[in-house]
Amino acid sequence: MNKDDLIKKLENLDLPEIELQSHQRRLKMALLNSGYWKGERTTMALLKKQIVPVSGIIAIAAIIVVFSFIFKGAMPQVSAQEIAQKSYNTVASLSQEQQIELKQTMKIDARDLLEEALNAKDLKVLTYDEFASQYPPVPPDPEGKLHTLMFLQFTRSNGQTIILGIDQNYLPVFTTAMFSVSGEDANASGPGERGFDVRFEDGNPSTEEVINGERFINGVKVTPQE
Amino acid sequence: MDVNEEKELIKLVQKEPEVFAKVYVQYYPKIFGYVLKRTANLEIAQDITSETFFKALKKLWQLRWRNTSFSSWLYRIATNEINLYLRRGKYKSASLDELQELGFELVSLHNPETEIIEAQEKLKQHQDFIVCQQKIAQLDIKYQEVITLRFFEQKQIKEISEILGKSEGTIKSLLHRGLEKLRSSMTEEIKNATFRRVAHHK
Repeated sequence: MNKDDLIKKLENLDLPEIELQSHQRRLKMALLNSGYWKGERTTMALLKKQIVPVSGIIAIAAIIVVFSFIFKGAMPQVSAQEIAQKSYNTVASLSQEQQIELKQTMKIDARDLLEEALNAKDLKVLTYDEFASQYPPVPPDPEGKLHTLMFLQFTRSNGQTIILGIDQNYLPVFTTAMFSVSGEDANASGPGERGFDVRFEDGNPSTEEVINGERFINGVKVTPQE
Repeated sequence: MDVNEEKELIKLVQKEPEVFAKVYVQYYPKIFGYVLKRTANLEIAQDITSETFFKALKKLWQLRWRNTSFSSWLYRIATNEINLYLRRGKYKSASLDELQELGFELVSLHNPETEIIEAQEKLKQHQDFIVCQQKIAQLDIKYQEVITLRFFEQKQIKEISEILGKSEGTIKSLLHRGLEKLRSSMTEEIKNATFRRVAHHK
């Protein structure tokens, strides 16, 4: 047999044409049910193509961790500003009657207070636990409404520390003011009808003072009732 | 299929299961046929074909047009799987049974056992092919590849070069040497067969 004969033999060989229909069908089902079509390829593609290399992911994660430590104090400030701004807008959008009612309830002009909060450099959001630790003893709260509030804390220009309770509708519910008396903290707060019973210490305002022509009860600025 | 159509096909097949299904239907018989002609074993051919398509699906997102057709890409995967089997003498694949264990829902409308028995009967009817395939299987894998692709799959030198990732010159050279080795082997076989016949008559 020479090479040409072999080539002719190979070219003219009767080749088997076999199909396994069942296998073909089963394999097709398996392929079409594969995770590839359910989006698994996207993650794999990103990782394997190294569009976002693993080392890059680690580096980004490290940067986030470092920045979260550096700006730990600043990050809640953003949120506090948002809450104060939304609350200010909510109060400003109230009707005149509602504003008067709120002023009577709060015993303070919430709009002015929120404006001060917005301008305060140390404005921050407190958690309930933080609030509770700074307001001993925590007012009776049988319905747990205190837990639903947002607490804003800031220092006024006269050094008083204000905590402002704001409900889920961004309406101020109460305020407390803390100031040092002979080295001890004293608290004052304004109750809210809409909210719950946030009591004054001993049930009554304990101090009243006028600073720069403004009247303060237990350190909280009081707007004269109309 | 021209270059632009190939590029478009690759894009679509990566995203659209319907397109992938059409391509699968088109290529399954070709790939299965190629694997069967390299192995002459139906069960192994099933497993290698399954693995070829699963590997193709796994690598589909990586596929970019690099002057290699989709067909050549599939043939290359199949060739690699066949070579793995031939080198190890056994084949371990993500077979359909394993896939079922992994929770794939497979639907069988025919009895696979019956189908395999029928296919084996059909394969036995091609004795010339079986003898020839056995001779080819004795050659080095590099010769088996080129001879099978050229004569059983009717691939052009350029396509074989794409599939095997070798230059056209290398393919021609491998084909030439492979045919020469096959010719020697078959000539020897004919001589032995003639000798056996003569001896039998005496």
